[in-house]
Amino acid sequence: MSLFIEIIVSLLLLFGAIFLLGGAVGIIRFPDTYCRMHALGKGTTMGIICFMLAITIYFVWSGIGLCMQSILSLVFIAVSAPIGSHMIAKAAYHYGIPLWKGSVRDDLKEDCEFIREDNADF
Amino acid sequence: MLVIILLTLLLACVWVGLTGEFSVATFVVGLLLGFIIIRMFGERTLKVLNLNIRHILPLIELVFIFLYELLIANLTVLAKVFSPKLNIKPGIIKVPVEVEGPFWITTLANMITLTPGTLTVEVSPDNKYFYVHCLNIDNEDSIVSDIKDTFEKKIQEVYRP
Repeated sequence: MSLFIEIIVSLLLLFGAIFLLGGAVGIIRFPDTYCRMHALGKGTTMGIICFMLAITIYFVWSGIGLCMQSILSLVFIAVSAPIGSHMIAKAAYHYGIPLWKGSVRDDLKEDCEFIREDNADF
Repeated sequence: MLVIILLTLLLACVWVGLTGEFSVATFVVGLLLGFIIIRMFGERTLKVLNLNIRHILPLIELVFIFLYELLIANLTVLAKVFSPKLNIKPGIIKVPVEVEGPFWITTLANMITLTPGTLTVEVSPDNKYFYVHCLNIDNEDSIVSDIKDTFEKKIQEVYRP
């Protein structure tokens, strides 16, 4: 039984590390801000979820007790990470950072002025 | 009323979790804090959420769909990141949405961000359209139908039971 749990914890740690590595490599390899946000938002969320699950399982099994802080941080990160990447992409677009030259289309361009005027009211 | 009691209990559980002490005293303190917080901020939040006791089971189902889609999204992005030739065709497309209410629009935007290869960049002022940045827009129809069929339908099921 203990071997089984050790294997699960190790696998979770390994996959978490792979996801975080993927996020980091994506930031370097992808060509512009918006594509980088794809790698950043998803990779880090999943990596941290895997780590926190591993921590929770390990602490419960080794008799230290249920570590509620890790579960709570897991929930809060899963809820707030996509909002972060969404806000960075939005701020970058309104700041005027161009899309990568290989981008195929941009539907936001024609409506951008309209949205900016609307936001100025707040 | 039942929703308020459940929310107070949830806040008490969060408080117990944050302090890390499992005792009756901390739970009572959490209940007290939850009661005060709900009295101070609850009315406005509950009006925005418009939650009902019937919403709770579909909400839990939604959380599991969210986690599953997160896993799939990660695997596809990982495959793109580590593929030797970077074959991406990024672009921003306009997606019509039919979800009502600020909370559900936020939820849908978050879920779109976590689906494979899509990222919400902007919401139109009248809340009718999302501007979604896609990593690969070879077939735009499949992206739009994906958002429409899986997430929008589920969210509509939650707030319109």
